[in-house]
Order: sequence, then C-alpha cells, then structure tokens
Amino acid sequence: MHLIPSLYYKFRKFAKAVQLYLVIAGPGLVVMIADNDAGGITTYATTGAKYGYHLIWFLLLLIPIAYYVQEMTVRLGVVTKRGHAEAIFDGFGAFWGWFSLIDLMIVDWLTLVTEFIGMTSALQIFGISPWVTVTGVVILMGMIVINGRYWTWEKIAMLFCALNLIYIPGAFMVHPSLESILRDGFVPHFPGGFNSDLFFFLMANIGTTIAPWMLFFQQSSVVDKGLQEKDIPWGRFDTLLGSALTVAVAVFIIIVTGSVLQGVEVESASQAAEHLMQTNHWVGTFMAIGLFDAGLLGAICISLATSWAFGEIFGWAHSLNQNIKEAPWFYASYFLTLITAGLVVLIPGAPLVLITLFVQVVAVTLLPAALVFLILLLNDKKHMGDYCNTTMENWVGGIIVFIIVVLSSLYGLSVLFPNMFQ
Amino acid sequence: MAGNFQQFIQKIRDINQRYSEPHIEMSAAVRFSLLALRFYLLFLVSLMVYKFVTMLG
Repeated sequence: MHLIPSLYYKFRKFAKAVQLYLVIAGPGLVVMIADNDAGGITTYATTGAKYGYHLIWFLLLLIPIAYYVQEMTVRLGVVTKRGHAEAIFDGFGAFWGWFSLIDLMIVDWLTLVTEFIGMTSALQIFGISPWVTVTGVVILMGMIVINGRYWTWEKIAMLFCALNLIYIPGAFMVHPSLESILRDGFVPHFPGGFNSDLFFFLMANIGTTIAPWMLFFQQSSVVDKGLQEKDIPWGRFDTLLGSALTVAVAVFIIIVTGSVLQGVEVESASQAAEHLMQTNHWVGTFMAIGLFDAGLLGAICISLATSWAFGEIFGWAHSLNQNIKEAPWFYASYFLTLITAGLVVLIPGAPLVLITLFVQVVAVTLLPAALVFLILLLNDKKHMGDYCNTTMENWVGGIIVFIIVVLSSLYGLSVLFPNMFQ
Repeated sequence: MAGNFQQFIQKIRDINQRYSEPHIEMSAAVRFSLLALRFYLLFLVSLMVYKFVTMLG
C-alpha cells in the first residue's frame, strides 16, 4: 500500500540529488575530458593502430589513478580557497613557488602550441587554412570568457566536453567484434611481450592522463566556482565521473583505430582521420571533428590555468566572474598566451615536431614537483584540518605519485635519448 | 616604460617578501621530500644540458 508513496519519495530524493549535482558539476568533468586533448587523442589513436584492443585493460587502470590525484586538488582548493600556485608559494616559499609558476608557464605555452597543431591539422582535412583556424579559435575563445561569468564559461566548456563523446558513435559505426574486445582488451597482458616499444606506449598513455596543468586548473577552478566544504562529496563524484568518461573516450578511440587501422603506421590523430576517411567517410570525419574539439578544450583550460596562477601570485583580479575592466591583467595574460601560441603554428617551417617532443620533457620537470607538493600540502594539518589525507589516502596517493613520477621521468628520458631503452 | 619596469620589479620583491618563509610545518618528512626533489630536478636538468651540449657538438 505504501509502495507508491515510497517510490515517489525515492524519486524526488534522487531528482534533488541530480539537481544539486548539476549545480556543482563542472571542474572535475571539464578538466578530465579536456585531458583528452590533441596530444591525448594522438596517443590513443596510435596505440589502437599499433596494438589493437590489447591495451584497453591498461587504460581502465588509469581511472582510479586520475581520480586519486585530481580529488586531492578539490579538497585543497575547497578548504584553503587558494589555487595550486598560491598554495605552493604559501606552503613552500618563494623559491619553489617561482620554480612551479615559471615551469607551468613554459609547459602550458608549449602544450597550447600542440593544441593549435592538433586543431589546424584537423581542420586542414576539410580544406580550412591554418590562418582561418587560428583566428577563429582566438575569437571563439575570447567570446567564451569575455561575458564575465564563470557559470556561462563552464556551461559552454561542458558543451564542448559533450562533443568529445563523438568517438562513441564512431566506434559503433566500424562494427567492432564485441567478443574480440572482451577477449583481447579486458584480460591484462602485454601484446608481443614486454619490450621497449610497448613500454614507450604505456608511458605515453600515463603521461597523457596526468598532466601538470590539470592540477593547477582544477584547484583554481574549484576556488573560482566557490565550492564549499559541504560540496566536497559532489566534487569527488564530479571528478570520478570525469575520470571514467575520459578513459571511456580513450577506449572508444582505441576501438575505432584498433578495428580499422591495426597494423597501419599512424603518427598522428589527423593522419588516422585521413586513413579512416578512406574506409568510412563519417568515422574519419568524426575523428577529425573530435581532434579539433579536443584541441579547443585543451586550449580553453590550459590558457586559463596559466592566467589563474599568475593572478593568484601577482594579486591581480583573476576570476571569470569579473569582466575585462575589472580583471584586465587576467584577460591580458589569457589572450597573450593564446595568440602567441597560435602564431607559432603559422610560422612557416616552425619546428613543431621538436616543440611537441619538448613539451613532454619539460612537463617531466614540473609534474613530480607539483605532485609531491600536493601530497605534502594535503598532510598539512594546520591548513587542512579534518580534510587532511588519511593514512590510507597517503599510501594510495603516495604509491600512485611514485609510479607516475618514475614512469613519466622514464618517458621524458626516452624522448631525450630515444635509444636508451632499445 | 621604465616606470612600469620598476613597478614590476617592486611587485616581484613584494611577492618574495610575502612568501619568504614556508608556512607548511617543516617536519622531517617534508624536509626529506624537498631535498629529494632538489636532487631529482638537478639530475634532470643535468641530463637536459648534456643532451643540449651533445646536440650542438
């Protein structure tokens, strides 16, 4: 007799929870999906072309890894009300602060160049010249931030996040064998044995899942959004959902290239898109659109990460809730980063391949430092109070950070010295 | 122009002053982590310099 009222009550409770989540959702989803940037899409596309479905299991392991690291930035941002750059300056002094800030600026700028490389190469497939792409992207990104409201920026960014899911229908269109995916992809193994090639791909996949800018971006984003301590559980859920979605997208990209291009030499996502177009026009088109979207999302987040960090340290107004007149330096640094990175791609004969490799090497100098600072700050009882890391969180987080530091360092070294692991 | 540059230098000095002391509790674990980080970064930078020099050579 009480079944219907009880069901109705549960439904209302669920609907309220969803409503509340929709208000808080954003930083975790955006940072995680933007993590599948142009470089990430290239890594997944080449992984699928080289190893088919065989490394899907490895990508699934990256969900908890990404979650554990990014969840700490949510707690740190919410409790201290400081971005990661300011937290490092305050916690460890000016030396480590300047080191992190300058390194972040270099890594972000170089990464931004790679996003422009991805976007221009994606649209070149449709005959759009790099000049038009760069100009259009700068204008579009200007329009996104210029309205002076964090909420509007976040919802537009989430729209682009939704477009990142375009690989999912693409994967269904290539009619992959479910049996092969389950058999090859979900049983942990090393295809062809553990050799230097495979090691390079595993490291590249880890390297693209945790990037330094993500720590700075999510913490500043949580602060700018004004999340409170009571919102931490939803912030965690947002981050977990984002981690699952980003890996899901990666898996679907691997399914696409693993189904159609396995054995084909693929060096970039745009090349994969062109190959795919020869067999299935729409799947190739989806790959190219997805690549452009990934570059755009990456660019949106990375340029903001730098501007937030500089604003925090130099004491400039640095919120998306302020307009250009109220926060001129914040927007100036945003556009300066964006325009200079875009212009580099347009220079004839610019060493773009060298820049792409250099990003991975420079990132290796920042990532370990940022991760170590993160763990130490999360153990600072004076500032974190009840939200300090527990012993269990320290063990899990510590092991994850150790693995990331070792593997990303080896990845950086393998880029510097390509014959090192032969 | 010169005035702006002076202001910028002054701003950097203020930042260095404001963050001259670390505010995190400097336990043995924190000191050890920061020391290990210094060595790690020195090692990486040395490798990069070596690579750069060998590339030039």
